[in-house]
Amino acid sequence: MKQRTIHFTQEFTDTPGGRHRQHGDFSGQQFREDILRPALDQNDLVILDLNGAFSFPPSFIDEAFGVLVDQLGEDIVRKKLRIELNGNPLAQRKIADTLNEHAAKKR
Amino acid sequence: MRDGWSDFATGDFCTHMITPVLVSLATAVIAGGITRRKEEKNRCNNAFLDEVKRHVVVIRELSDRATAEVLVQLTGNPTISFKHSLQQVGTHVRGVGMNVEILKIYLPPEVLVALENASYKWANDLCADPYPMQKKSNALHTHDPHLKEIQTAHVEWQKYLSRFVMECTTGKINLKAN
Repeated sequence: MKQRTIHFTQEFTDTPGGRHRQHGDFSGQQFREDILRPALDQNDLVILDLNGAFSFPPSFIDEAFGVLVDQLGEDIVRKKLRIELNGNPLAQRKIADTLNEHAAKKR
Repeated sequence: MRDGWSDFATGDFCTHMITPVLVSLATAVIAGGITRRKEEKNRCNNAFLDEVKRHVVVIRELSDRATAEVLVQLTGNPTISFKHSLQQVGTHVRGVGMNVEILKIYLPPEVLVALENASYKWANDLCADPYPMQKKSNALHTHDPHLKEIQTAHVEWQKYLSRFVMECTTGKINLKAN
């Protein structure tokens, strides 16, 4: 089983930006298109270590994870993506809610 | 021929033995002090940078929420009452203002003025009169210019924040700790 760990703060940024690339550097779209989606396409399991980032704006989360569910489907995202984030229950909740909302929309 | 004792007797002992030791000792102490000060300054700068980044992320979060709330009202799909919505937008905008205010601690005045101007511009466009809710019916099936204005203001504000963080990180903006 092919596996990859993405260390968010080392490979991307500790200060996530806005939704789209036009909103400036380190946007949700940039993260999804340049790092997350290729990693998911090339691996069976992707462990995304989000620890160390200052927080995650809602639009970043929606664009990075919500659109991913729209594109790949809930099953694939839940099966292949494991998110590690400790000590930030608000962001954890936001990510979970976003995944659920987009999954519900697709159903 | 010289030896230690004759140096001592003539007073050259100080010149040949003590002075070099003192000089190298003093050099080491000064160098150590400079390094420690540099390390201390770097630690301080990093801590300040972390604080700035933390506030920018909060500002971005609140801005996102405020803009989303207004856009929901404007496009005619509100999930909460107008009054409640107005309160929420107000709270978020005030939160942005407070975080910008806190950044005063870390930023030189000219940078702070630019940041304040950018945030005012975003907030003014967001809460422009008449309040979006009043134009809701116009926005439903047409391209309300105010909708576009808000989206543009949001993009500009987000771009500004990204550039701001980048410039703080690369040292183009000198935080006050410098």
